Amino acid sequence: MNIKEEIVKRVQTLNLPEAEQLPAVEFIRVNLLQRIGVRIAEDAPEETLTEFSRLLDINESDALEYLDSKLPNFHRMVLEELDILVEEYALMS
Amino acid sequence: MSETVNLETPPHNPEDSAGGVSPDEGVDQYGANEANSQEISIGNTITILVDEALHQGTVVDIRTDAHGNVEKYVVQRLDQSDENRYLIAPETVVAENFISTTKDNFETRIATKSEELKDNADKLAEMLYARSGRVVTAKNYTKEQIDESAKEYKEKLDTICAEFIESFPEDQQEQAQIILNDRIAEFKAEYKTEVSRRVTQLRAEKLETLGPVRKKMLDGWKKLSQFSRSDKKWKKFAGIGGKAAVFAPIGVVGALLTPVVGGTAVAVGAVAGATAIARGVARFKLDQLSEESEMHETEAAATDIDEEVEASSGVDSEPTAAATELPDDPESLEKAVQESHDRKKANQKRAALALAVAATAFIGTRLIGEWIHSSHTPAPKLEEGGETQPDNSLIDEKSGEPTDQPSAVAPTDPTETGGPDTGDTIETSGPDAGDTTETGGGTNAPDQETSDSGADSNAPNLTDAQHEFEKSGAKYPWDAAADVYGRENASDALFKAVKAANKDGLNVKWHGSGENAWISVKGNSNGGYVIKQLAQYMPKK
Repeated sequence: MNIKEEIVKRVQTLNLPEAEQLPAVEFIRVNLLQRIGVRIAEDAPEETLTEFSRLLDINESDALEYLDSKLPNFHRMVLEELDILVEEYALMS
Repeated sequence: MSETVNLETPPHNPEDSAGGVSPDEGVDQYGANEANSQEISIGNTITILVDEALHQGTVVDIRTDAHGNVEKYVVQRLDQSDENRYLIAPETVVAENFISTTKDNFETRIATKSEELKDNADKLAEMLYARSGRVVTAKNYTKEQIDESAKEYKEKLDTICAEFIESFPEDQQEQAQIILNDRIAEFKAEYKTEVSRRVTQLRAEKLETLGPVRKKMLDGWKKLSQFSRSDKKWKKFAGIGGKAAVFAPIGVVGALLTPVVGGTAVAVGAVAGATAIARGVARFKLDQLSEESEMHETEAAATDIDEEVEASSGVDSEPTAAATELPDDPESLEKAVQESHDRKKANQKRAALALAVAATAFIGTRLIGEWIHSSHTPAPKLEEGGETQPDNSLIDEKSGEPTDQPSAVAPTDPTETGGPDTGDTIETSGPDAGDTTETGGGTNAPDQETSDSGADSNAPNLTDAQHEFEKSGAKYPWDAAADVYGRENASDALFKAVKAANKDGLNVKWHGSGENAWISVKGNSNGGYVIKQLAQYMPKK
């Protein structure tokens, strides 16, 4: 599974005009990256966030790998946020 | 409006018409048609309306009646490599100034409505935020209220566009609609997702009240999401993100840093912005994604090879996820590296980050660049450069002689690219400033050094950003802009600079389109020269 494919699949379900599909996909992509950050900041324990921030200053890869070890539900969080974004978009479509 | 013909041999000797033929006069009282606004000659690039979309094509022949009046232009579309040529009636040729004016006016229209739209977006975002359950608010909104607000917002977006089209004379509305079709779609998508961006912002603001730990984490995440293409780390993450099955944080971040369509920023930009905006996005089929995923994997491997070389040369020793896939023996490794370089060079020719990435700014720039800020003003829209004539005036900066190497924006010879095929996935690592193994350590190209040394005595006072741009060491304007403003903002910065320079009386032109666009200043498209000339017009960061 690939997050980009997930975005595309969901946008396709919106039945947008063809010209709007790609911009929608791309804007949602950008929003999703931001949303994920917020979601982690909301849900993760402070100790995890503190260590993540510390590692981030040293090596981004290590920091993200640390998150992987600490957030077993990361996959679900991402998809939930994606669903919310797509749902928000759908409201206006 | 046109018919397709297959002309093995043009029935009309191009030499006979080489001097150009004046089209009929008085057909188009509004000046929307190129044929009535300027002389068109064989070899000219013109914009035509075919299949309800704008396309660019080269005039390969001109058919006239007994009186010398143009009946049809025989046009080879730039985005088609086959034998098909189009017989184009003069009234089907769209005047460049009509296109650019239409686009400019639409941007103005949006700008005048932006505050109003922001209010609507804020209102809707607040409702959605309250509904999210992530905050306890005094206000509770029913589903009906939210639906009503969303509907109102959508209708406002629709109305802005519809009224704009209706402001044209009836016989020009179809053309205006086609010209703006993709821009309108983009505008709607942008403003719809703007609501979501504001919800994100509200959630972030709430977090910031919960103590420094969460705020710091968020700041770090923001930094992650703003990796510039000139940053080696971006390249690495993008490579990891391109791997189809990665759904761990590092893979997700890497994937989301790059556009969904296209292995890099380029492809989306190529199809979405400026000149290409009228034809690319709509034409792109989302089901091409699987091909893109494969490309990502190739790209990731190439990235790994690059980094392996860097590691062996002591430039950068960060390990990569796929480093173990590299051949062990030096000979094979060298071969792999060479193949990687060859691939890059080929891709450079196709890619022409140029307007391509320039255009990419429409997606990502405004959002990434402004995430979690309190206000959001859409950046000026990319616009058609206007000049679509084949560039016959490329002058070598040193010799003053014509050169066939247009280099102002991208390392691409447009004639070798096969046209702006939007389906192509393009690797951007070539002109990447961080790619030291490819570019010879990131040193200035000779032409850059030459231009730098030329006119310092008359150098204007430059802002920091302008100075950085001028001294970036990049070979091409877009790369210089990306170095200074970040890849997301590079195109907007360049377009602003070109606009400001033109306003100042400098002869600056965009040439080509889509992936194959470049800039010339006073007819000179040498990259270093253009950078030098544009520097004083670059906007503040």
